[in-house]
Amino acid sequence: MDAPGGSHLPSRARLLLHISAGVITGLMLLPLLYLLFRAAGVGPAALELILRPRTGQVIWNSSVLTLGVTALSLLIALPLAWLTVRTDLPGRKIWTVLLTLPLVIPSYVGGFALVAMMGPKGILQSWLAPLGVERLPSIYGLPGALWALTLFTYPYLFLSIRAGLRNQDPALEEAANSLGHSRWVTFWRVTLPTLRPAITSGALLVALYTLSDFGAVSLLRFNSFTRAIYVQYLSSFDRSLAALLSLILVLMTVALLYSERAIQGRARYYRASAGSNRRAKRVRLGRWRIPALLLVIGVVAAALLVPVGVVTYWLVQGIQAGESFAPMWRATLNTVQAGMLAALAATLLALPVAYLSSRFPSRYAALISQAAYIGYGLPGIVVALSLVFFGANYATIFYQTLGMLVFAYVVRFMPQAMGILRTNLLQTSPRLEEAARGLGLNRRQVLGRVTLPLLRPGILAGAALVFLTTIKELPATLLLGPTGFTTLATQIWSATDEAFFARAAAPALLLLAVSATSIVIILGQEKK
Amino acid sequence: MTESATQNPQTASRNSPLAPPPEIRLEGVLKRFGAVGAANGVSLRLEKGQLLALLGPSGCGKTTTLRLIAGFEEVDGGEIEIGGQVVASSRLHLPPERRRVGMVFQEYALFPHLSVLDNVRFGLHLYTGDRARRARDVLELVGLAGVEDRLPHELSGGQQQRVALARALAPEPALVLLDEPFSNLDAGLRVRVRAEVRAILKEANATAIFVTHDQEEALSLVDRVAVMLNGQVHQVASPQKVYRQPVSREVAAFVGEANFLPGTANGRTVECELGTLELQTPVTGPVDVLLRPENLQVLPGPAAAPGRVRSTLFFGHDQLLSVETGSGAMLNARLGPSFYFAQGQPVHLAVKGPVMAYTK
Repeated sequence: MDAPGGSHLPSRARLLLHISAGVITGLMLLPLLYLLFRAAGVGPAALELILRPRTGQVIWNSSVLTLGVTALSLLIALPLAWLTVRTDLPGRKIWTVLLTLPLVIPSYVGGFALVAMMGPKGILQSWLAPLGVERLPSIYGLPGALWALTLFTYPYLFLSIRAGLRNQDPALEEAANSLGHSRWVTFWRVTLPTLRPAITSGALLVALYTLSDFGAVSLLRFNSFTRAIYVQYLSSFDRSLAALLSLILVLMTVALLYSERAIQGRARYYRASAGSNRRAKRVRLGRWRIPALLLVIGVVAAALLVPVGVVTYWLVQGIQAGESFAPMWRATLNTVQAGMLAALAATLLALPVAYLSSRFPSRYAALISQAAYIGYGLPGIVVALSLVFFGANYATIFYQTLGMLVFAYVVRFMPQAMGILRTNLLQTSPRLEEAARGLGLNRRQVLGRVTLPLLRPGILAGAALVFLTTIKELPATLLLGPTGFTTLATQIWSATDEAFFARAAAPALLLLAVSATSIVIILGQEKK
Repeated sequence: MTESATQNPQTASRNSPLAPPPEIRLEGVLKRFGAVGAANGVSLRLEKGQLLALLGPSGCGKTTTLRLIAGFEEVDGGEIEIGGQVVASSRLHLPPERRRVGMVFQEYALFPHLSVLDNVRFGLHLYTGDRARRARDVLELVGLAGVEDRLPHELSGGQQQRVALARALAPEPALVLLDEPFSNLDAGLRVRVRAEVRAILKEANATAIFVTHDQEEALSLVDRVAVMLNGQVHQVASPQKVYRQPVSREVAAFVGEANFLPGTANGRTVECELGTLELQTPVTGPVDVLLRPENLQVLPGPAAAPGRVRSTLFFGHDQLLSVETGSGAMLNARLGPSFYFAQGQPVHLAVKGPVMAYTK
């Protein structure tokens, strides 16, 4: 089979491309491979460690949390998506944006906001103390973790159900109506079943996020996998258990991914081609308008207004108390530096892999590009822990250096740049490059005058996305950062953990502002 | 169903006792989208067991009319009556689920999560007999016995079409509506499926309305054709009559190919460049004479003959000639493949049979 385009590359360059893409993917696989190696090294003791009741407890906790957050998110997201897509709810465009925004709140900021509001030294307690309320019910543990994670992950489901509703052929519901079924019956028997793929993929994102989240569960002290791994890593010299727990977490992630396929089943859901391009008619809410608005306002208040309000409150408190901003400038500088290095490295490494998989499709290229995504699917704490072990044992020069930290970032976030670059390359016909050759340009001129200019938006967007994700990263930064290296994320985390809320407020507000811009980039990419 | 049992005595008495009451009646139906009128007073009648095609160019309001009948849109004025019961007027809007109207959508709209059998059974919740049996019977009627357990995406386009038809027919609706039902089939399949669908509807003794912009489809498929232009029905008649005796110049121009020549009508005859022609319906005064290409005869003539062949298109089974008349008018003529005409060749033109003419 002839490779589409690219075939004009000389065979030496092609060989180099194949090899470098392979090496890059190999690097991306390093954390997982080392983890497997390490876990295998535990030997027969592994079984004993796994069968400990504490391990079972952790599995149980993570499962309950993941299922709970997914179910609650669905409960919130389904009515909200329906209200904003299919009804005449006033202000639905603004509500859609506001209901999506909680997505950009990093879970540890959400956790911070919750602890700083409802915790023992929080705002609510200080307000209620004069009234004689000695102690609020504890927000630590499962309730707090459920609350925080649901409010900051439901937008994944909200967005995918919205997309599902918008793509649905309005003729399906009309067909059900004309076959004698009321709108209510039609919703349960036609609308909801055909939304199954949208719900499943959105729920998968929520579940994966919850399972791998470190920030919220560690701040709210709920002993799920990620926190258990961290505690185990801190408290014990024998790190085999941490490695084994990480491996079980990876297995649970794989099981989740696999279950999505199983749930999708044999039915294929598609919108019949062009033709009925109509939008479905909007449902008039009538007297349900007020309750619907209250629901929307309630979610926006809990997921957006309260966190931002709490952060602002503590910022003002801090300024009044004369809190120093010096540590924050230091942390900001560190954050930006690490983020830029990661963006640069990730984009450079993503280019060969994306180019190979889009221009020289083969079994090898497909395998390479899929394998490179693994780091993205791994929980951050797992990548971090594996690199800690690897660095301490085999790469002591790199251990606890900025380079090691940047490498962890690249493993985790390079796939973001790769995805954007690949889309960009696939949308750019190789015929354009060939046309330039036909017009008398040599290979190098084509690269400089055609390929790179066409790729520029993808390169910039990919780099920006990696930068914005990196500066929010917590677990790898905690575990791998050089001694004394604080970023905005670690500062928020440690200040919250020690209940110095005012110290966490300024970096939290800064991070919120910066991450809000990342959604602009993501949405800009989706429009294409 | 309860609605069908309660015959509205007022509307029933309005019909003449001799003619059977129409199964469906539209009277001056209005629908506006913003300032645009999609239906500007549509009036239509159809008797039980008949097939009608709503034929018109895109944007003429035919699909809107269909959706008004089905109840997916609310009328702004006028009245729609199905099986003797008023289902829509400016004061009343019976929801689609209570109209007993089966709809076959352009894209079929089969429920992708349900098997073929469950799709057909979907509308049988009020059916009093054996529902599974009814579903199987209808599937057999459309020639799909044996694929009951498949999912829609596992079927070919023609099969999906027939499932959609079976699903619409299963609850024994008073009326079946089909929205451009053949537009998604490739040309080869279309002719066959069309004939099959007609046979199925006739066998089920269904009253049905098709929406189509394809004249050939409309003319070959149905008992009655309603020509719709600019939101109004201009003519409702048999396919033959719509083609041979279009009521207006616009209808003539839309249905089939048409040449127009200016002339002067004197009751039963009309004078024009091609001589004195007999009229099908009497008119007087200055008119446009309708000449269908196949009604024109072209005969090779001497150099002095008034016509000149300007171009020819040869199709095999026939050929289309563009002929310039003495006055400079261009006429298209369709004739058999036997004669060869060169460009610029002088010809005589003659007209076969009586013609239609329209007052200017």
